[in-house]
Amino acid sequence: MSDHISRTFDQELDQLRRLVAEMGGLSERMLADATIALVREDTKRAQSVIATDPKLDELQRKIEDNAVLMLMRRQPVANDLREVMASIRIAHDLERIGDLAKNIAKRSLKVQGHMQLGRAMTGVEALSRLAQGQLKDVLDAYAQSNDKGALDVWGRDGQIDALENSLFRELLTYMMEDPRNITFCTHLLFCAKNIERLGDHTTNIAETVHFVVTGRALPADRPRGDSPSDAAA
Amino acid sequence: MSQMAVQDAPSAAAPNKDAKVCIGVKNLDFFYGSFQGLKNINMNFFDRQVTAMIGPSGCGKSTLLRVFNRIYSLYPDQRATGEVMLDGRNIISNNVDINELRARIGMVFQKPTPFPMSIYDNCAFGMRLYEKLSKSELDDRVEQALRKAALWDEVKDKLKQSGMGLSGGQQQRMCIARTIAQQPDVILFDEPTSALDPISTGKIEELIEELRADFSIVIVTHNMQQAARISQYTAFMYLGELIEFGPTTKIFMDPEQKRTLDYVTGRFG
Amino acid sequence: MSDTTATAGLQGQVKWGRVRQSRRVSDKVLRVFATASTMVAVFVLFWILGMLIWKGGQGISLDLFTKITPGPGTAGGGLLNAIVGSIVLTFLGIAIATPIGVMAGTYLAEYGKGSRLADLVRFINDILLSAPSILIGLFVYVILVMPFRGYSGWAGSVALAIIALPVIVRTTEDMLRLVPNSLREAGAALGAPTSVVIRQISWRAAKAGIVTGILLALARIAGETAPLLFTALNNSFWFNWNLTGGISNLPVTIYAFASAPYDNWQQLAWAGALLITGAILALSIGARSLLNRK
Repeated sequence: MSDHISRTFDQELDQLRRLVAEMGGLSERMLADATIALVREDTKRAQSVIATDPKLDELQRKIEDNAVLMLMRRQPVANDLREVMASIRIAHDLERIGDLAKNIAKRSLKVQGHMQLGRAMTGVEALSRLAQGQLKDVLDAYAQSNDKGALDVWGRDGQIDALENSLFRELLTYMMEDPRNITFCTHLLFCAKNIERLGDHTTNIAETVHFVVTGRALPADRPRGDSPSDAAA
Repeated sequence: MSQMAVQDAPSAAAPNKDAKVCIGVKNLDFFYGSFQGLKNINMNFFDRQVTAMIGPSGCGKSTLLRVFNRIYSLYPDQRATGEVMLDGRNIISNNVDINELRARIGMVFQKPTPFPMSIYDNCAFGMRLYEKLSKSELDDRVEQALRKAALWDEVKDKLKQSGMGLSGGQQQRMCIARTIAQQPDVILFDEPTSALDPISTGKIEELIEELRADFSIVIVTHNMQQAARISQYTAFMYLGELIEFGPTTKIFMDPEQKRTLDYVTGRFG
Repeated sequence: MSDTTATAGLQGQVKWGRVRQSRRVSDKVLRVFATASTMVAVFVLFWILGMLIWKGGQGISLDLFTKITPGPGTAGGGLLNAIVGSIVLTFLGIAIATPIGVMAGTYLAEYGKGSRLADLVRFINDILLSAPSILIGLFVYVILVMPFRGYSGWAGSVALAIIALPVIVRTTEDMLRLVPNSLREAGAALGAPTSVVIRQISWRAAKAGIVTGILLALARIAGETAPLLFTALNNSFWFNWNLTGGISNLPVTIYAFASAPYDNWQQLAWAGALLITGAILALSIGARSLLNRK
């Protein structure tokens, strides 16, 4: 994209993008670390995830401040306006993703020492890996202003839903088999739910990237698998 | 949002909290004949910061600007009382040499004012008045000034041509070059872009942001967005009074005064 | 409401054909009257010019520029001494009037803004501008001819200078007033004292206009007869660069020769008139083109 007459405006836009990218990297690592902490009962890692969350919050605030300042000072229009709007939205989604990862890390501390069901854990890990892939792809798409990459991520969210759904049934089975599994499985269930929610935020980011690149919004309903609550009913 | 703009905000927006006071205004009154144009103005202008003055027409913002280089002294019926301190001197007192003062406080006007002479002579005009420079020193200073004004590349091959032949935006940048060639402490801009097209306006604004590294800048503007874009401090004036003065971010995000709020949000009158 | 086309939206009170016939007629009448009046004026002008060229053209010869005015009853002769004398008187007059006029105009436009003195000077200047030239001749006669007991070239040029002066003052002031004030402020804002602003900015900006004013003043005095009658008078002998005596010049020569009974004198008068007219026309056109070029 060609430069603005005002170089500071360009610098400000660059900085905004860098901050969003930094947030993206941080939230990606939080999710990965939280999953490892859960699977390997790694207390230190869990605590470092929890400790990272304030940093993410601070980044989000900085992005919002900068974006509002830019709205005030530069009165951006067209793609610049979308860019600034997008940074606010994406920062919000990434902050939520960080919160969800932190929640997984917290739960990992509670289930430690109760590792009865390795198989169930494998399912959660697979679900997380899927979500991590999605998150990485959407952040790449954002960094490269790649509409196609964003649309791919958007279309793939159904996979996460489907996997979460089957994991839900699996965990339900374990709980029915043996009531002593209930606490453990409930925690895992929440972790799975967190990852599914996190996937939704990833999809939101994909929609935002599409909006930045094309200036158009995506249709309201995207392809999705069955919701676990439907299955429970 | 409470600690807005305090840290790591985009660099151009953040006022430098450590900046020294450059011009100190105390109890300033100004009269056009019997009409009082400024009423008891008290404010400080900071070193190497851009201060924007906004307000509706006739609010006194240009009047205040014209006090700083005493251009009002050209007109016998205009007078100012009070204190305007620059570098330890009250510049509106009689013991200040007006022409020396004007060499220290440059001014760029609303409409470009190219003198009827070559581009080179336009730029050298101020230096020839007060400095004894050799030809080569003069050449250097003219080139520096034109470079700083982002005009050098456009005019370097036609320095001997008349300055009146340039486009409006180029003329205005030449006037800026002419002013900075004198190496003043302060540059006053009186609505410098109101006669220019948007592209030229953008260039001048970018220039002002760059000039802030070397000069203290006061700019009067009708365009609030322009004030928001390029200034670190903003003063809102109304009917000859200073209503509110503060960091630009504060004035445009969360002004203290109701009248300021109404004006910047377009709810005036 | 009747129309169903796209312009049906224009329905309302306004209809075509509301302009009454009488209005068109009165419009035409005025136009015809104005055109006819212009034709009359132009016709008279061309009549004068035509006669001048016809009668004067016959007298244009090399002798006109090489021989001096003939004595009474002598054949031939030219206007050499009168031409040179006129040129000298005119330029001397302008040389006297220009510095005074430009400075006075500068005072009025730059220094005297709003002052009583400036208002007074401007008022008197306007009176002088429309004063009958014979009055000025009389005045110079009283102050320069009578005391020195004799007509002189000096007195003639002073009289011409007094006629040129108000023209130069007026145009200088007007042209300087056309210089935008912002230019003066810009000069002052760079620390230039008023004198520098006037010399390097105001005068430069108004240069073409001021020079035009001087040229117009030149054209104005080139044809003046009345003041010269009382001052330079005439001299039928070869021009001797002596400005303390009477000097021959075209207008007075024309005045004298045209009413004389000799054919060759009358012929020379016509030729002289043509020369003056041509010179004035050239000056006016030159002045105008100079102003338009700016």
